[in-house]
Amino acid sequence: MAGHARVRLTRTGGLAGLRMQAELDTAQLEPSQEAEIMRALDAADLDRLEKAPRPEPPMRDAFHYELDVDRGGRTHRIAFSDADWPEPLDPLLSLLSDRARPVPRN
Amino acid sequence: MCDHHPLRCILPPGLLHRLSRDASEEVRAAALDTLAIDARFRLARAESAARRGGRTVRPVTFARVGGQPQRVICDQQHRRAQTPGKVVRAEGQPAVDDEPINQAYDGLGATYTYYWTTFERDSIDRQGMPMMGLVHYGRDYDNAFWDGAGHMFFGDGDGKLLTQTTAGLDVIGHELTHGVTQHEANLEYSGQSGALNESVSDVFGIQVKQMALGQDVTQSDWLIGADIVGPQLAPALRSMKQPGSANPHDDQPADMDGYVEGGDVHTNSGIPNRAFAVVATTLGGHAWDAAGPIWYATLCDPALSSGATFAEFARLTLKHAGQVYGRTSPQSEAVRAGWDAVKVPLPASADGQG
Repeated sequence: MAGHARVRLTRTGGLAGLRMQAELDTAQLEPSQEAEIMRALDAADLDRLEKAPRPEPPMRDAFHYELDVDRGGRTHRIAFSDADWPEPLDPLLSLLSDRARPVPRN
Repeated sequence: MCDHHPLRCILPPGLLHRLSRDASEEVRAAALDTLAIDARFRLARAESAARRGGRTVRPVTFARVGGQPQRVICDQQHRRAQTPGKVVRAEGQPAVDDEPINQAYDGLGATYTYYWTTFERDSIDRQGMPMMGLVHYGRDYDNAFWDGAGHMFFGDGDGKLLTQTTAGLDVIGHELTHGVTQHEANLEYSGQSGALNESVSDVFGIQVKQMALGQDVTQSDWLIGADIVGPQLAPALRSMKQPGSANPHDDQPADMDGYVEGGDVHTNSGIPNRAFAVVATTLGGHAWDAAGPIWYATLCDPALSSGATFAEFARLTLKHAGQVYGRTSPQSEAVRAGWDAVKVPLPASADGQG
């Protein structure tokens, strides 16, 4: 499944307690980079991740993430923490993490 | 077992440590091997205890004198795995050619020293639990955290928000204190109890740094994370004396007038942080002379519930100040001044019961 995707990552918590956010339209990326991101989205199985039961270990200062994906009119919201970081999405999450900026947290 | 591995018998860890340092290569290897197995057993028991949380009654399986940390530093090699990586420096082993590993080792040692010399607390669980520092977690990871299962994870930072997180003695003390809190009041991680959980980690984290540097309350900057911030968060993550002033993104309230309903646990923690800083600076000397012990007695008081509010925590600090130093003592007055400054109400009677 090719096409483009619009994604937004929100990261909260952490020792610093910052709220960080990054948005991205994959259409703005170099074709090879976009292809890598789209492959990661395919491999991640967003339907499964969205419904997966989430472990809630008593972590303190861990990051919590929310990833919104809008792709071809279908939207997904995936929530995870450092304990269940979805490895297949690593290329996308790394890119978004690099672009994230602090936003008001409350 | 003993035929082939004579050291895998009941030997005190101290002797094993001496053998691992002084004996022949063969004996040394066997001693280290045995220590590693010993550490794994203890880790399994500690993890099991940590998962339960709170003040659970545990059978005493061995008598322990205490006073000796059991540090295990692992290299996560930039992976995100939640399990410990390769052990690169265990207790008693010499420094390695990797500064963050040595910083974690030394920082956990300073934290152990603070808790042992001030309260005779033997590690995270009072029972000599190994202190596991997992270093080089993730890639450019801007954070350090306690996983609730006996491990402290440390990222290297991206150089913009945060730098090497093991460089902060207060940060290492902060993370280890999350483990202490888990084994005591086990404060729930949301609302006021969550902000108290965070504040308690800052309160003891800053004291770890102050003790290691020999600072009295006037010499400390009362900043959290000053040694690990990058340019975007300079000069620090939080200011205990002046919440809200630590960096351009710092929105911590300095008293209850600014309390953020539904706020992040790292937001409202500024209020009890400042109360502690006022108590300690009002009394002078070292923070661990009286203010630290009052806070510690409160954290360990079974009357402190896991869902405690600021006012409930404050009342117990006043109770302990009164019991130890007297109801009209300078210490009790300083505790009142601290909570008054941040506008957390205290009971009228001086014993904290009224």
